[in-house]
Amino acid sequence: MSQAAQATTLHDCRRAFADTLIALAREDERIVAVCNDSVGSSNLTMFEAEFPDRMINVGIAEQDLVGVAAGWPTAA
Amino acid sequence: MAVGIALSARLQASLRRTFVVLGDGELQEGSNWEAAMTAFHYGLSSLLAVVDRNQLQQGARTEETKQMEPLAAKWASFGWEVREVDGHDHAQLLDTFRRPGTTRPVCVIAHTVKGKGVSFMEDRVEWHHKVPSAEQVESALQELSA
Repeated sequence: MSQAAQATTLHDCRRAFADTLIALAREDERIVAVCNDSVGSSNLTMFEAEFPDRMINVGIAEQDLVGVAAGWPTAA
Repeated sequence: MAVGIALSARLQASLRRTFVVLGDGELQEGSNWEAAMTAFHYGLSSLLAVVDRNQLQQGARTEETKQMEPLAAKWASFGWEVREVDGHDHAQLLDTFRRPGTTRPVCVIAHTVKGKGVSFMEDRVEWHHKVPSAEQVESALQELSA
């Protein structure tokens, strides 16, 4: 193993995504999460716990995921 | 998109209602039914969808292309409150639009005749997309104002 690889700390990118999203959502109430069933595997459990009203789970329905996400900001 | 708009209104504790107009042929597209499931799941009683049930789509009648019936039963089975009206009766439309759903989203199936009031257009599939000539526009306007 190279020195560079040894020096690198592995970081879960989904955790980084969730932490950043939560930090942004605390500052901007317009931020919501729209999810297609994968609350846990998208690492959105903490987001849902903190912002239960701002978490929409459309189920396994990707077309609807896009539709809801497109419609929401037009009325926000 | 209408589901997103209605959800947004609810988060804002707004009384705003959301109306969406759907063609009958386009209900062959699955995205509508994904949205219908979501709207019922979230109890979006502020959402009202009007289906323009004119029985015609681009190439042929809806029932020849892909059977839509029993259409009211489909919406009802997705949990929606279904109302059927004469889509040419403005009083009926206004009455139903004024009444939001109680606990569920509402689907108004408006039975219509495409090209209503113009003899050479009524219920003819080609007028789903055809552009009238100047003479046809003139004659249609005469019929409509008669």
